Amino acid sequence: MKYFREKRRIAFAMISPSILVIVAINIFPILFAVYISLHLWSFGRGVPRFAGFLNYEELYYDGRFGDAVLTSAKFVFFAVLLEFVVGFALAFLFNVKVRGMATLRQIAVLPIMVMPIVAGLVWFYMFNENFGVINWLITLLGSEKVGFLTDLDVALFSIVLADAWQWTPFVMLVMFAALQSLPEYVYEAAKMDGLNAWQTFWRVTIPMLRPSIMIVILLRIVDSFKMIELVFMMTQGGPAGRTEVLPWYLYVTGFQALDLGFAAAMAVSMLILVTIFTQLFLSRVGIGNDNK
Amino acid sequence: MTSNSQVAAQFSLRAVLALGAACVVVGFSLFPLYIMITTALKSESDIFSWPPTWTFEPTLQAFKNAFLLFGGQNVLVFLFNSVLITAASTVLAVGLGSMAAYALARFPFRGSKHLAFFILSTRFAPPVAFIVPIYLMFRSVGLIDTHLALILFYTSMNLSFVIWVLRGFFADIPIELEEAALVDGYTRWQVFLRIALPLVRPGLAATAILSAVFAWNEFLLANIITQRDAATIPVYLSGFSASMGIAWGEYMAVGFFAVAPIMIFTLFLQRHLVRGLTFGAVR
Amino acid sequence: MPRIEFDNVSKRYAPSSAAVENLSLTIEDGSFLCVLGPSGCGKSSTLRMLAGLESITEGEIRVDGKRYNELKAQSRDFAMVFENYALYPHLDVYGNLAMPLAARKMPRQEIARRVEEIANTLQISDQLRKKPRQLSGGQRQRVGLGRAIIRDTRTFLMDEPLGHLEAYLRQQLRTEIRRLHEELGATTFYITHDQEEAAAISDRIAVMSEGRLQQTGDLLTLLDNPVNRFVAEFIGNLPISILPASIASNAASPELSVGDARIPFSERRASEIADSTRVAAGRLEAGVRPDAVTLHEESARHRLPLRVSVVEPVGDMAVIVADGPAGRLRAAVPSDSAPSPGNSVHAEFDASRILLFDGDGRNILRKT
Repeated sequence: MKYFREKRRIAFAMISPSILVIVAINIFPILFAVYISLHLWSFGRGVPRFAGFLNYEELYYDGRFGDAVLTSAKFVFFAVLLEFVVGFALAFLFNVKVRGMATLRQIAVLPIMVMPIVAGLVWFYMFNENFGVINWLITLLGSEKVGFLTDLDVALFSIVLADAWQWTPFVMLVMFAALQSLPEYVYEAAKMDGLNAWQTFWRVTIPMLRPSIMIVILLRIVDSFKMIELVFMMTQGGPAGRTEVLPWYLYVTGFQALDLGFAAAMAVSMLILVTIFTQLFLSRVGIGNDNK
Repeated sequence: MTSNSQVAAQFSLRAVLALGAACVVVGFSLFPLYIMITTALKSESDIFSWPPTWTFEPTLQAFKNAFLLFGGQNVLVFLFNSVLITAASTVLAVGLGSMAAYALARFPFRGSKHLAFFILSTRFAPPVAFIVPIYLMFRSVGLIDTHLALILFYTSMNLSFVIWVLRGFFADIPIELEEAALVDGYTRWQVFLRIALPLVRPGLAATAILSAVFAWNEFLLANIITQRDAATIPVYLSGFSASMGIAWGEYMAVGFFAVAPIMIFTLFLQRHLVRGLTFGAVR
Repeated sequence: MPRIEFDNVSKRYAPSSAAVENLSLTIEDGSFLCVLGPSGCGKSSTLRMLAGLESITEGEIRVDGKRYNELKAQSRDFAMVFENYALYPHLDVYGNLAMPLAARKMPRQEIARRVEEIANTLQISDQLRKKPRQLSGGQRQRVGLGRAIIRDTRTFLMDEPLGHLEAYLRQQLRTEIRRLHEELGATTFYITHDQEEAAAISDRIAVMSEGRLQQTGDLLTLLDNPVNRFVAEFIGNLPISILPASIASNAASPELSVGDARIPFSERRASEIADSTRVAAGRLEAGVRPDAVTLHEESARHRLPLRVSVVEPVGDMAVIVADGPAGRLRAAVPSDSAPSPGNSVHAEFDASRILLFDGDGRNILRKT
């Protein structure tokens, strides 16, 4: 009995500092955001006034919010699609066993760790209409210069490309690790069962990679939904709001328009959206369950 | 015999093709970094030249401008802030997180799994959702534009990640090792410090480096919470969009210093990078 | 009709070290061959070369006279059972059993029928919807067996299929494997390190050591007529005792001296070794199985005096471990007449069952 009480006391002592920090800096702000969102709350315009669900109502009828949701959805869809398809294929490329491949792989994943603000700065420079290297490349191919960040139809895809530069290696790296962790014996069994390369790929490799595929897609969806740095550096939401993703709209509302209540309502909506999405996704993938 | 040499020839052709393709990928990965470095070394006229110049006289003018006189703002202060805040928050996150992770892995109680999962899920929340409440909170306690504010926020941001990943590392230790130490008369706390922690050293290194990278790279909250005294390098760099788009070389030079140390860490970290980046889901 | 031939086959992973060296071996159609050997002796490499999972460095593997070296594993039409079961972890039992048939694009209904049939044969019908990790080791290997026999192949390669199972299950499943072999009229190439299993299951045993084939034959041959000291020591439930020996040829009748014992040797047995020039070199070793030894209280010229160190009871027998100046000897005696540790005993050898090895470890008394 004393033994178990000792264990519990130690567990409590070891966990509580972390819980304290997380509650103060992570949990409380969420509750506070809910509180703020129920008020008309602006900088410098007197005391906050309780307003019930007014902010949410406003959000519901706000066309700009709807556009931002749509832009975010588009951005997430195209970025994750591009990153996944290319990254998945590259995992197989880097899985070819040749001398020197490991070194190349380690260099190829460097963009993952680049400061997003710097990525935005460099791509901003490369996309420049007047002296950017990408326009130079496409003129070499005989095309006209493109306003990568000013053309209404192109700007979002320019941001997708910059995002893909940074995160395709991430997909590649994770899928590569997953490939490596597949046991050799299933491939021997497949050979002895008479499966050809195509059958082995579809019947053995893909199904066994499924959990990793789901996790990498989930992480990419959640993370690309957060993206704000590229927009901040490259377009500031423009042209004509075509790259105004949700985080950017929230940032602008809160810290340029100073409408904190409205911004908080948006924050709460985002949190609910992300939570529902990840819970659904996770319950189907089982990242929360240990298989130990 | 013919067929054997044919097999060898096919194999080497495949190998050469694969290596070639991999080199193209590496080229694409490195190209923007190459542009960054060369732009930092170019003279102003080369930076704006059309077509872009590939051979040029390298100059350190941009570096000198950025670090010695540029705009009256001293980059070194921002760099110092970044280093201080990153170091402090990493030490705190890994220190507190390793204890919590150990307790969750070794002393399971009712709901401990749910608690661990709940801690992880805070990591999925978009940081932008925190800017309004965090700003108001820190302002009301007078922490705006202080190092402590960012240290606290980054500690919390990384704690969930550290706890979840290290929990997996601790669970991998054979429990017999710790039981043997308990039988030998070590206290629980000693077992944690002397047996468990040294055994998860790779995990500690991986989570520490990734925590440091996250803190070093974080922009949004730093931009909101700090103004001048505690502002970090990303905040400095974000100033470019307000600088009339002229000082490319200077910003690229600072960008180089923001990216280079991380790149070196990344090259060393490879082995546990995936496990850290996927919260232990893929090894 | 599969008849498998290894013709001077070698396998080298590195230029200097051979995993398998100059192996020549024939497995007749419909026979059950066991390759027996300690771990690292090259038996797995041999099987994997036959399966097509590893390349052949030198020599040729023929099946029904056709060269198989370059044939892909997929095209060899062998079924294999793995030591670690090698089941597809993402598929249930049904999916695992169906895989070889699906690979051949068999119609769905036909697959269902065959899976059902095989599952019945192997008594795993109620496990069809379970994933491998929900099964016990024995059940997993039943699935492994089922996957091998579900297709119409007549050659089975089994790589220590019972290695990870408990003794009771091993016995059960080996009977099953032998039964399937008979029913299907198959040719089976089976690997094990368990000699009892090898004896029970196979028609013929091939003993391998350090990459080389030592001897083939049934268990009795290997026991009584081992080709060399390695086989003599490796085969046998109780370890054989090896003692230094020499032939005293100057006496009236030939005598074998082992330590202080002078053992009369029949003219016939002595003549068997007379032509071996190697005896002259002097250093011989006598191998005595524990059941070819009796222990006595009285000394005699042909008995070896020893002191008992350890008594190991094994059922109604006891193994007496006794030491003397010549070395250590093990004798199997009935428990009720077992001496106690510390006792002096005098060991008498059954001269007709003594094995003699020359300096290179070759058995020079081998009957051919």
